[in-house]
Amino acid sequence: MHLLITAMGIRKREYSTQQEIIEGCIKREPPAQRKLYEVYAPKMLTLATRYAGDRERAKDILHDGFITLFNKIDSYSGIGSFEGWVRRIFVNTALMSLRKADVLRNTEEINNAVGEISDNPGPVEMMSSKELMELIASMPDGFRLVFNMYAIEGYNHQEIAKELNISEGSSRSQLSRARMWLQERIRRQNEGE
Amino acid sequence: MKESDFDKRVREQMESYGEIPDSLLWGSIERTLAVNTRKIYFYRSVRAVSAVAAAVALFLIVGRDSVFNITQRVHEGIVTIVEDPAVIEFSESLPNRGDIVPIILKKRGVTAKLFEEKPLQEEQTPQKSYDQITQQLPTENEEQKHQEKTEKQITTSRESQNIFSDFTIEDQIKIRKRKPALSLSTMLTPSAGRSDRVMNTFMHTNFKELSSSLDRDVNQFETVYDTRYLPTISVGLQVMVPLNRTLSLVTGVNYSILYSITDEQRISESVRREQTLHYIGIPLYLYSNIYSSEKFILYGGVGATLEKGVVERIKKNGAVPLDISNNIPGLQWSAGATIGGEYVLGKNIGLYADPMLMYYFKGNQPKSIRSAQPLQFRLEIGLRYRF
Repeated sequence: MHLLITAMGIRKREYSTQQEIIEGCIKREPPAQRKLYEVYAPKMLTLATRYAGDRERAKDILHDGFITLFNKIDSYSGIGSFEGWVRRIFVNTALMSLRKADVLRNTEEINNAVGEISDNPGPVEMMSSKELMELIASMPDGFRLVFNMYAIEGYNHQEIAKELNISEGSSRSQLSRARMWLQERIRRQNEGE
Repeated sequence: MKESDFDKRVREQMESYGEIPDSLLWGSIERTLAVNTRKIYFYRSVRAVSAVAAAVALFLIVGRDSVFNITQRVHEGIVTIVEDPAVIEFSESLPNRGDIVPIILKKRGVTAKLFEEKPLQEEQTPQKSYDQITQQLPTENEEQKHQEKTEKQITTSRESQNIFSDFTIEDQIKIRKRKPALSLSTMLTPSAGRSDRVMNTFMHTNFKELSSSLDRDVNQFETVYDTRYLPTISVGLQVMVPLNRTLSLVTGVNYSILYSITDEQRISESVRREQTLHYIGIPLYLYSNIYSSEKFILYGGVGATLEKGVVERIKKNGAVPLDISNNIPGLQWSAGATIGGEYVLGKNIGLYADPMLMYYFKGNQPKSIRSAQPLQFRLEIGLRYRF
C-alpha cells in the first residue's frame, strides 16, 4: 500500500528541506508555497518596512514580492544562497514600488535633511531591534534607501548608483549623512529625549 | 565607533529581527496565485485546442480534397465495354487508387475494364459515384434498345464521349466565382524596420518630463534613444462572400503583434525598454476579379480595417526593472489597396498572396511603427477554402 501511494505520488510531502520546498514551489504546489511563505515572510516584511518607510506599502511589497518569487522560482539556478536570491527579489520589488510612487526622484534632493551631528552616538545594542527598525523606516527617503542597500544588504556604491540612478559620489555622501542621522537619533533615544 | 562597526551592528540587529505579517496577507497571495495558475492552465489549454483545431482544419481541407481525388481518378479512366452489359458486378471489393479493375458482366459474360488515365483537370470532372456509372450503363430492361445499336464496342474517352465531364473550364471558373471562401491568412509587414535616434535632456530621470533646451545647463542626464521596430506580424481568419460574378466582400478578424525595442543610453547606464502591442481588428474589403483562368485568379481590392488595442506590455531593465501591462484606449483605423493573386491548388483550395499598401491614420494610440511610419507595405499570404 505504501509503495502504491508513493508510486501514485499522492503521499503528503513533508517539505522538510529547502530543496523540497523549492521543488514543490516550482511545481506550484500550494503547501510548498505556504511553507516558503512561513519561512521568509517575517524577514521579508522587515526588509519591506525598512525600504518602504510605512507599513501599508510594506504589505504591498510583501504581496508583490512573493508573487514574483513564486512566478520566477524556476529561474533560481541553485548557485549561491537562496535567501540572498529571495532578498534580491524583495529589494527589487521595493525599489519598483518606490519608483511607481515617485519616491526615488527625491533621493538627490535631501542633502539638507541632517540635523546636528553627534560625536558620541549611543550604542546600537541598547535599542531593541524593533525600535531600530522603526528608526530606519523613519529616515528620509534617500538616506533610507542608500543606508539599507549599503549597510544591510551589502551593495557597493557602484551598484547603488546604478539601481537608484544617481552618481556614486551622491551615494557616498548620502550614506555618510544617513549614518550620522541614525547615530544622532539613536543617541537621542538612548538619552530619553 | 568606526563606520563599518556601526553598519555591522545595525545589520546584525536587523538580520535577527522578523515580524509576523498579518494573517490575511497569505490569503491574498494565495488568491492571486490561484488566478495566475488558472491563467497558465487556460493559456496551455488554448494552445492545445488551437493545435488540435488546426490539425482538424488541415484534415478537413487537405484530407477531404485528397479523398475526392481518389474517387475522381478512378472514374476518370477509360471504360471499354466489350459487349452490351446487363448486370455487372465487381470481381473484388471496391478498387483502390490506381487499380485496374476487371468488371464481369454476368449475363453474357461481357467484361469491361476501367483504366486509369492521367486526369486533365480535377475541376473539369463532376463527381460521380459507381452507382451513377452503372446507371449510365444499360440495364437488363434496356437491353433491347442497346441491341439496336450497331456498335458492339463503345469506347468512352474525354476526346470522344466524355460522360464524366459535363462542365467546361469556363463553367467551372464561373462556379468558383460564385462560391464563398474561408481564408486562413498570415500577414507580414516587412517595411516595419526603422531606427529612431533622439537625444533629449531631462530634469529628472522620468522621461515623460521633457525639459527645454534652456534647462540643459542644470540637467544632469542626457539620454540618447534608439528605437527599433520589428516587423508587424498578423494572423487572421477571413470570409470572402461573392456579391456578383465580379465583386466579392471580404471581412473577418485578425490579430496583430507590434514589437519595438528602445535603448536608452544615459551617462551612467544603459536601459532597454521592450514594448509589445496586441491588436484585434476587423477588415472590410471589396475585391474585384481582374482575370481568371483554370489555375490562377488575379484580383484587386480596396478597403479599411478597424483595430482595437488589447494590451500594451512594457518590459524595462536597468536600475529598477519594470514589467507592466496597460490598456490601450481608442481605435486604430487604416485603409489599404491591393492587387493580389490566387493559385488554385485543388478542387476547393487555393494559395493566395495579397501585396498591400496600407495607410495607418493617426489616433490616440501608443507610439509604434504605425505612428512613426503611417504608409506601409504589407504582404498577406494564406490559404483560401471554398465551400
